[in-house]
Amino acid sequence: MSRRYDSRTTIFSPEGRLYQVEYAMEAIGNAGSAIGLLSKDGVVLIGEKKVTSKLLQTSTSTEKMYKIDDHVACAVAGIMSDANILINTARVQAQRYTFAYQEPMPVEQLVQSLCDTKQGYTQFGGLRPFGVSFLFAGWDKNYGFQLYMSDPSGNYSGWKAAAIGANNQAAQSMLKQDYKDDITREEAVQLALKVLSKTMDSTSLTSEKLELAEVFLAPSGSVKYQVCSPDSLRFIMMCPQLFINYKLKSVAHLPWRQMTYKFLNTVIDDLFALDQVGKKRINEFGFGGEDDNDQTAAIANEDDKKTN
Amino acid sequence: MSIFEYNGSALVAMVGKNCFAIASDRRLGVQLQTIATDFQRISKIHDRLFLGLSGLATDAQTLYQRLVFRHKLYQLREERDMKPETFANLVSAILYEKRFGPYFCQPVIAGLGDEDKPFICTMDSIGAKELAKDFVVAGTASESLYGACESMFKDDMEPEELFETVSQALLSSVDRDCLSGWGGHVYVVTPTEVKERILKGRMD
Repeated sequence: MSRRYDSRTTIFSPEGRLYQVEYAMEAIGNAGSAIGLLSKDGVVLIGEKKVTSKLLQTSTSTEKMYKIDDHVACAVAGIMSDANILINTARVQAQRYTFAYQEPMPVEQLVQSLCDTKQGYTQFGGLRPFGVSFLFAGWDKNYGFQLYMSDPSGNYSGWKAAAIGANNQAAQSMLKQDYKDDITREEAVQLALKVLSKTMDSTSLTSEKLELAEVFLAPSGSVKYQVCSPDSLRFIMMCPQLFINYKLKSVAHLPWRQMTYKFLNTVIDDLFALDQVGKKRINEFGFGGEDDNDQTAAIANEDDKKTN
Repeated sequence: MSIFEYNGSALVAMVGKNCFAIASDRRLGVQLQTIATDFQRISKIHDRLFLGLSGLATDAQTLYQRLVFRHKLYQLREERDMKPETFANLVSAILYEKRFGPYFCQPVIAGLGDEDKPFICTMDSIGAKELAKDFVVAGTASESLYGACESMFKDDMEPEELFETVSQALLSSVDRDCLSGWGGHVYVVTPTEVKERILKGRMD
């Protein structure tokens, strides 16, 4: 790596690389990961929160998921302050389009417009690039549901499944294996959780560390962007996590009694949480028919037998 | 002829008990010719805030689009809806920006503020706010509307009675104005629901 070509964004290295852009991508590689999945009836975005101190003031605003317009949302990985600027720019661009054309801005045009802004910082002005990668999820009437990934260079492309942030290579290869073209939104949520929990650095996945957002069409026909509440998230995650923990034998050292106790505790807590979530969520999860679900039930049964 | 009388309009907003009503006529004309009888003069900003714009129709449309722009950004950044008082200040500021080349509109703003307290206000075309506790009027029929509202208004009316009062005031006033009429459009808003009704009056 030649140090002489590092300091300015606006010059190429002899090998034809833009070092500042690559260093920006390095910065993103240390940030919390985010995964996006395109399904038949919606787009799922899931993010890992890196900042989870007890001292943090709880607020309703999200750390990784942001709404750009009624029909477009994004997940962020990288330097948060840079992300805030770009999100604001994207919001204004979307509103400006709507003001001019009186219709929602097509998703690709919005992504392109934002990427043009990012590209400017790699070619002129002498300012450093933004250290953020985005996953844009949206719907428009021309192309339906779409998922786009963009990086500090200003490049973007449409994806069926994509990952950004820490361990994104691992997540991407896992997605390549498990993703199928015609998954439903519920299956996409399950897959995203599975992939994220396997690639996350921390050993245990709790709902406080995750953010889940979905973009889908409401029965009325309008596009809805919904961030999952921590309660419903806790239940959805529970079974995959225990299955994974068992597989990884990270809890193998625990006596069976403790394992069952922990399992039963979670079930009871989450059944109470479920009451607030409503029938829809229960049905989707209960009748998910996922292998995870069946195997976990089988494991739980074995645990019970052994304790008894 | 004044530019404010080019298209013709009538708007009224009235306060009731924990509710408000906002009503407009439905005529869109080009001086003496009527070209539409279903023109929407009242627009929803959010579930508890309505904006009516009287005056030149093209300015009303553009002003409305600019306000939607500003409100949408506010909603995204603040993650909540704008309060009616705040919105009124925004409208006033936007109108004053064009002090020496104004929008030829007179807005009527009606909404439910904190603790479901109804809020109404109107302003002139360069943003001079007029807050009222009972009713506000705007448009070519405003003089008749002032008289009708003043005599028919009572404090603390329930939504149904408020609807009757607003409708009678509107219909009787537009009958005395050749540039507005062709029916009425009334929204009665309570903390729980919004009732939208079309009035059939003298269709001229």
